[in-house]
Amino acid sequence: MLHTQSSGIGVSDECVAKFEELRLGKVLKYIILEVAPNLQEIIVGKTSQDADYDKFLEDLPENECKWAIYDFAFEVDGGGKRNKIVLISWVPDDAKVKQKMIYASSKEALKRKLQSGAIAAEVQGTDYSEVAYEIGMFWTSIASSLHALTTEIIAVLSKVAKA
Amino acid sequence: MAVYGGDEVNAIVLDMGTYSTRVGYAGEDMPKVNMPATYGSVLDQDSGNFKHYVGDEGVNVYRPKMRLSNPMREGMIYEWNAVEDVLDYAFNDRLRCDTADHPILFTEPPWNNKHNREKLAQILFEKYNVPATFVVNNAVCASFAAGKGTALVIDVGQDISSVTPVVDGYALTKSIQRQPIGMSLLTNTAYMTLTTPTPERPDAIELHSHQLIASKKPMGYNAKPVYTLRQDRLANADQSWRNQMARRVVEDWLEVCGGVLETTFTPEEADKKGTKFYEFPTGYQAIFKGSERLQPAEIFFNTSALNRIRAYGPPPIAENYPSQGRMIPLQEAVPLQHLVAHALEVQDIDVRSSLMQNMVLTGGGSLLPGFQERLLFELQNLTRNKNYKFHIPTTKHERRFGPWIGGSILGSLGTFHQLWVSREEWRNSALISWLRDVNEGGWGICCRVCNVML
Repeated sequence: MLHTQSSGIGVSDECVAKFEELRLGKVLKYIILEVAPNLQEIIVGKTSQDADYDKFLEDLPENECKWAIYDFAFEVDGGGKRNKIVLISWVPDDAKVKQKMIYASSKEALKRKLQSGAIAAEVQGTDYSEVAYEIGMFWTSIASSLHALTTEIIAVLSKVAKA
Repeated sequence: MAVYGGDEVNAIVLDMGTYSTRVGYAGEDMPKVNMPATYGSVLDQDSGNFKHYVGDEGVNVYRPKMRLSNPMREGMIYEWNAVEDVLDYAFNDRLRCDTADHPILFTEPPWNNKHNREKLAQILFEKYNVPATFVVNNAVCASFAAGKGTALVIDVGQDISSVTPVVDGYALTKSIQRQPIGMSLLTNTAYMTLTTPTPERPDAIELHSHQLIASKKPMGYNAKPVYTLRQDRLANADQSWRNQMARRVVEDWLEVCGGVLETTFTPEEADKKGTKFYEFPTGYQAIFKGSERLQPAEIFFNTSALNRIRAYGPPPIAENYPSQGRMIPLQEAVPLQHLVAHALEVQDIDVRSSLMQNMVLTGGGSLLPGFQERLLFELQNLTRNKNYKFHIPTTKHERRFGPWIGGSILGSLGTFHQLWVSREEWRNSALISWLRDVNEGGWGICCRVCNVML
């Protein structure tokens, strides 16, 4: 067992329960998680069933850190719906250093407590352009077809090698 | 289980670098003590022992025959008895605290070796009687302080430029890229620039420090300075002290005039960045053109500038205990953008794109105006890829004291106390290695005997 490299902040059972509800219930659209004001554990800030992505963005404050678990739904080429769960670390540039530090150092604990295999992708967001709907979709599509990314990066690499 | 840190017992955060040592209480915004890493030693004729002087008032003050040395090389400690003097001074004279009451969190560079880490912990426990310690990795601290669990940390420090990938809170020590191109080499280069005569300045600039100057006359700009030196001091000052003080003058000049051109360097383009005025301690006043001011920093980005200074670099260090990862020798050093590109190249493809999006620039070099823009420019040119994004602390003190601030926040968290390695734990495990095997990477210490496999 590796020693936990973290702030030591715990994860409340409510987080796990809500995550399971989102994962299995297919009703919740997203969950906002945050560190409790007493800095002891991670709690659920909000849950929502609203599929409007702009509404979701409104729940990410401009100068405060949050985590969000968002359930992206999309259709695959052959028809048929798929869902991928994305963990978004919302750490805006304007947030206080202390908050950034706490959120960054507690994320591993959160991932470990949640069933992280169910999280298809992670996004680190510092401004709204980085958490745009397309980005989330981009990551989910990568998760479903890593192949496309592989070819893209190999192309980049061969350019590097030439240069 | 004993509780340390938290609100009631203040932890001390210790961040030792090659340029300066930062010490202060966890939870505060700034370190209480920021002092030079160097120390002075004077031979006491009666006892035959060397007396050590540390701190600003120890090093920067003239003393006959005082020799300056630096116990740190490349962010790692090399002279242990001198470091003890530095710590004594910081704890007893500056913080004025009893270390037996304060757990100490110290930082280390990602390439630190196990021997060094154990030795510092041993000194803290045995000499300073600290109740508990913890060690955090510089690069991970910088990445966390930017709010990133995954980031590519580019640290332009005093001795070394390094690129460390941090993934999910672990520094990947095997793929650290580092080379001895740092602020100290920049100072050497600027020193050469200033002391080399140019057509506009036929006389080389005299870089005497203010401690050596007895009197000077106010002169017009670019006029030959008229000043007298303190001959008594000149005769007795040690050459190492004089060199160091002259370097301080150059460092100050760099702070005022230095910088980096945002695009490929040409003298014409650099001249457009405007002139800056500087007065040297001798009273010599000069106006520096853009091309003069920005030329020295080209060593970070330009192969031909790098070739010119290869001879001025420090000699390689004979290491008793090898540090982690490979150090690229000066003779094979490459521009910084190549270092970054290479560090990215050796990563798994699934983390590469998130590292590109999350680059954290830290260390003294990040304070040079234009540094980040130039690195981005060169990287985009080199790799024909625009998908890079830097995350840099906005305020200057956050860049200067980045790792210290990171440690300060961690050490002040109430929930962090469960992670400290206490005296008892250390004593119980002193025979077996209590520190986690460095090969595992990661930023923490520590084999806690109880819950980590050994």
